Amino acid sequence: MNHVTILLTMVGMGIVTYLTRAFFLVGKRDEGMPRFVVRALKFVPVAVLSAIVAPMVAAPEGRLALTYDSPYLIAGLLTFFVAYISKNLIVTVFSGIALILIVKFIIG
Amino acid sequence: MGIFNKKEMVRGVVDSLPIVVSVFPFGIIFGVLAIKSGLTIFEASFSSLVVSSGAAQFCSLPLFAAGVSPWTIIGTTLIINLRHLILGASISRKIKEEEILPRAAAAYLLFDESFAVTSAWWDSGKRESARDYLIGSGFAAWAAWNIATVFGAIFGNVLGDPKRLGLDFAVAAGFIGLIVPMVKGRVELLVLLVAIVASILSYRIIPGNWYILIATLAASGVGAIFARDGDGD
Repeated sequence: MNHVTILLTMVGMGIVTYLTRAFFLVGKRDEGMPRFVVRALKFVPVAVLSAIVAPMVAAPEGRLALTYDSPYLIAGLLTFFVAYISKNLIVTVFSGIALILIVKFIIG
Repeated sequence: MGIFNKKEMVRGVVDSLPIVVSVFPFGIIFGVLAIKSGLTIFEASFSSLVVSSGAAQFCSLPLFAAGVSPWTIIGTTLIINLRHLILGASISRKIKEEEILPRAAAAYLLFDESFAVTSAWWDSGKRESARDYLIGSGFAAWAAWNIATVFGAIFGNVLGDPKRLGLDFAVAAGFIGLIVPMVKGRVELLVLLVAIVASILSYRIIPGNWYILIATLAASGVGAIFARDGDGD
């Protein structure tokens, strides 16, 4: 693919991505949305974050890794625990980084 | 800047710094991979500037390398990013300001990370200006992503493997840190569990990034079924 095509493709990617972001935010407001949808929207943050994290922790290399010697699973569960106890995002992120290294070292 | 709530924007930036810590290594990884896939430093940087979507950008790299048709790449991007429709709908209910241009700017800065931080902030009860908070949060993530991309593209091969520093787990840790305070009741816990199960199942069965959209729809739907009025507000 020549360079101009690559850049134009990226512009296309950008436009399409922006449209998904702006559709409800800038475009249609939600007058007339069914009540079920409105109730569901309130759970979207928990749902989408959990959906993204789950494979990171349970299938980091693409295959399911749910045994006791899967470092990402152990580190993930421990990080959950740290998040629950500390209620602090910075502590959780840095603990997570430390935990994955420690767990990998122990299990390694 | 008269119509913007500067205090709220700064708060958005500051609250997003922990998340920025986890965005940065991924930006660097993208920069490195982009060069390895045959893109130039300019193209790698341009991608992050114009698309600003990690998932779509990562998925596009093997497609660019294989010389797949531009429309296929754009179509794949659309599918990967359909979930932003839901994010936009969810956030848009929290924004009361009507002016179009600031909303358009906020939309450009709507990422998983800024959505997550803004939702967490909203959940905790502080609600002056979700729009400006989102702009601040999104700006922090956007700046980190773009700077990291350029850095990775230029210096990538020198840095070695981010996995050895535990940095590949940093995004997961950040999201976990945001999820936990959101689970305030039994319905949210159910939503979380459904999302996890649905996500892992569809991740294994369906190729691509559909698993995020499917699991989000399924779990939110379950939440809506079990929620009584006022739950999850």
